[in-house]
Amino acid sequence: MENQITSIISFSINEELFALDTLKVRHILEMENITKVPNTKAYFLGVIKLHGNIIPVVDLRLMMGISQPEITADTAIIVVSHDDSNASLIGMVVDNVKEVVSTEASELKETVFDGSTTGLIASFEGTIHEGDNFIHVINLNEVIHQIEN
Amino acid sequence: MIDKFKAKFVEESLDNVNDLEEALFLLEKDMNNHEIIERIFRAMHSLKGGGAMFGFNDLSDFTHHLETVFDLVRNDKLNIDQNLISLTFSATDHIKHLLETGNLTDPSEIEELKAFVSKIQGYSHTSSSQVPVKEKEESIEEDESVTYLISFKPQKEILKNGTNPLYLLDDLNALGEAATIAFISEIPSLSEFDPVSNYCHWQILLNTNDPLNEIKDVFIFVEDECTIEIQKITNGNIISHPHVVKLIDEAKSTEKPLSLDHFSTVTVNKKKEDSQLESKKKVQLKEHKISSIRVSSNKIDELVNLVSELVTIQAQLNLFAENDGNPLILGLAEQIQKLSRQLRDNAFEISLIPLQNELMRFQRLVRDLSKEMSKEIDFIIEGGEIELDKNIIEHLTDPLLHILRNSIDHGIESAEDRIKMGKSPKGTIIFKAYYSGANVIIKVTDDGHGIDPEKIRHKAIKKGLIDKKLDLSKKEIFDLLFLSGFSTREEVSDLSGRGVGMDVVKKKIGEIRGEVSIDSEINKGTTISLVLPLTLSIIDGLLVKVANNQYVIPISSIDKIYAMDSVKIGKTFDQVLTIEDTQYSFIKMREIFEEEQGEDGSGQLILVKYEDKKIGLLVDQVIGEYQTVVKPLGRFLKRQESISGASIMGDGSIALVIDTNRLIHVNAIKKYRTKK
Repeated sequence: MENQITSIISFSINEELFALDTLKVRHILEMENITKVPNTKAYFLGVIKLHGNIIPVVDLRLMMGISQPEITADTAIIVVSHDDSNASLIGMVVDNVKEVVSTEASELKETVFDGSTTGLIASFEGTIHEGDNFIHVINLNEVIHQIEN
Repeated sequence: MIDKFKAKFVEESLDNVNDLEEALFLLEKDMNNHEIIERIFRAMHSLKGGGAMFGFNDLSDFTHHLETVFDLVRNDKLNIDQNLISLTFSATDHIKHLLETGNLTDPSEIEELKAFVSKIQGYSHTSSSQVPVKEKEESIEEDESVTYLISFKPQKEILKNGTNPLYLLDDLNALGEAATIAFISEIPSLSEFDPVSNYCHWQILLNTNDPLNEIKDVFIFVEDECTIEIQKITNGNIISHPHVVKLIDEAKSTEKPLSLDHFSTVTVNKKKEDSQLESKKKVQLKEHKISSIRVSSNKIDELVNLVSELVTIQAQLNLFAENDGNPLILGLAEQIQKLSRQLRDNAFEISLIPLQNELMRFQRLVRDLSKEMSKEIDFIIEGGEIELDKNIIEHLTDPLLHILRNSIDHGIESAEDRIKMGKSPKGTIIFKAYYSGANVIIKVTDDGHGIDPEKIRHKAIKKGLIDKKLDLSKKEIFDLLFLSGFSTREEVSDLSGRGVGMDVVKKKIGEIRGEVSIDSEINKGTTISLVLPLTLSIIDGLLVKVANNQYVIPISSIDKIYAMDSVKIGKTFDQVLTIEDTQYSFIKMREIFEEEQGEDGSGQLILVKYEDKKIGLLVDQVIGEYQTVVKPLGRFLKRQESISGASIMGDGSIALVIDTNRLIHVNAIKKYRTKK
C-alpha cells in the first residue's frame, strides 16, 4: 500500500462490517428517491442530484451478491470519489453507516474474507480488528474498476 | 509565482505567434506592405524579449535569428519571397514547440533546431552579400548618422513592473554616442520617499547610425508605462559641438528640459526643411484601454454551472410561489425569474467564442498541404464570426482538420487532371458557417472529383458490410462512409487514411450532439455538412413519461405528436404503424427501457426525425414543453448511449434527456443483431 490509511468509515452490509478510507468519502446521505436509468446493470440504481449536479448511485449490497436488500431508516448512501475529482463522484448504498475508526493504533491484517464467491467486491485493503469486530476495508479503486467495466 | 508569470507569458506568446501567422498570410498576398512587415517584426521582437526574460533561452536565440532576417527586410535590404514566407511559417511551428517544451533537452531536437537556424542564417547572409543596386543608393543615406533628442519620462509605477530605466539608458548608449541629462528635482525628501516609485526623468541626446525603429525598439516593453518623445535634431553628430555641450551643461544645472528650439542655432547651416518635417514625428503613446480580459476557462465553466443551478432553484421558487399564492412572493419570484434569465443568457454568451480563432489553423493546414502536394488551392472562409460554445469548438477542430485534409488529399485533383477535366487548375475549398435556428451549420465544399456512389457500394459489398441485393439511396450509400473501417482509398496516404476516417469524425461530432452528412457529385465536388447545437448545456425539450420515469426529448428532433387512438398499428408487423396514410416504423419506449408493457392503444406517439426518415417513439404521456439545463451523467454512465444527460426539474425530481438519434441507432443495431 502506497498511502497509509489513517482512518476509516465503517458500515454494515448484511450484519458484516466493512469500511472505506475516510479521505475518499465526500458525503453521507440518507436514502432518497433514485431516478432509474434504463438499460444499466441491476446494481446500478440510477442517479440522484447533489448540490445541483447529477451523480450515479450503485447498490453495494447488490454488488456483493445480496439479493433483494431491504431499505430501512438506516439505509444510507455514501458518496465517494476515488481519485479526488468531482467528475468521479459516485454514491454507494449500504445498510447502516457506523463510525469513523482511527486505524493508526490497530494493524491492518490481510483479509481472509473472499468476496468473489458471492459477488463483485473481491478486493480488500485489509481487515482491522476493533473490539469484538472485524472490519474489512474495501479497495475502492477495484470497485470503481468493476463499475466501469 | 514565477510559474504563473511563465504560464501567462506562454499564453500571450501564443497570441503573438497567432498574430505572426496571420500577418504572414497577409504578407503572402501583399509582399511589399511595410506595415505588415513591421507587424511581423514586432511580434518576433516581443517573443525574443519575453523569451529571454522568462528563461526561454532557446526561444529567444531562435527568434533572434529570425528577427535579424526580418530586420533586413524591414530596411529594404532583403526582398520577401515565397521561400522566406514558407521558412517563416515553419519557424512559427518551432516557436510553438519551444513555447510548449521550454528549453530543449532532447539532442535530436536540438540538432534539428540548429539545422533550421543555419537555414535562416543562410538566408540573412546570402541576401545581405548580394544587396540589390536599388537599395545601395538608399543605404548611403542611411549610413549618415543622425542626432536625436529623446525625452524619456517613466511613470511613477515603472519600478513595480520590474523595469529598471537605467538599463534602457544603457541600451540607448549602445546604439551610438549619447549624452544623458537626468532630471531629479522631483525626488522628495527622505521622509516622503517611496523606494519603489520612480521620481526621475531623462533627456538623451543620441547620435546613431541605426534607423529610428531601433530606438523605438528599446522602449518596446515599456511603451505603456512612460511618455517617450523622439525628435530628430539634425543629420550628423553634433554632440561634441561646443554649443551643444554648453546647452547640456546648462540643462543639467537648471533642470530645464531641452527642446528642439535650443538647437536651432546649431542646425542653421544644415538642411532645415528636412529636419523639421522629421521632428514632427512624435512617438507620443496613447492611453491604454482594456476592452477585454483574459479569464481562465475553468472560471467560466464554474460560472455557467452556478447559473444553471440558480435557474433550477428559481424554477422551484416559482412553483412554491404559485402554490403559496402570496402576491408579494409571486412578485419577487417573477423578478428573480427575469433576472436569472438575463444572467443565464449572459453567462452562456460569455462561454461562446468565435470560430475565427480556430480558422488560422485551418488556413495553415490548407496552405502547407497544398504546397506539399503541389496543388494550388483557394481557401475561402465565410462566417468566421459565428460564435459557438467553447466546448463545442474544442471538439470541432480535429474533425474539421480531418475533413479538410480529406478534401485536399482525395478531393482536389492535381492541376493536370483538372485541366483535362476542363476545370480551372486552381482548386477551391469553401468553408462556410451560418446559423440555422438553434443550430450552427458548417459546410466544407471542394470542387474536386467527388465520390462515386457505385464505387462505395462495391467496396461495401466486398467488405461484407451490405448485402448485394440491397437497394440503397445515394444518401444511404454515402452514409456507409461513416462505418468504422471504411476508407475509400486503397492505399493509406501519408495525410489521411492511417486507419482513421469519417467514422471518427462522426463519433467526435456525435459527442457534441452534432450530425455529419456527405453529399457529392462526381466531377463536381463534395460537401461535408456539420449540424451543431449552439450550446451544450441548455435545450428546449418535451417532457414525457415512460413507466414511472420522466424523460426529456429535445424539441429540435421532434416532428409531430399523435395520440395513439388516432394511429393504426399493423396487425402482422407490429413495428409498423399508419398515420394519415403514411407508414412509419416505431419504437415502444417501455420495451427498450425494459419496463413492463403498457396497455395497447394507450399513450402518445412522438414522431422524431432520424436522418432523413421519421420514426415514432411510443411514450405513456406527454407532460409539456420545458427549457432545461442538461447536466452530464458522468463517467460511469458513458456507456448508456441513448441518454445524453439529466435535468433537474422545478419540483426537484430528475428527468433523463434522451438522445433520439443514438436511441434509434442503438435500437436498430440491436434488432439487426437479434434477427441475425
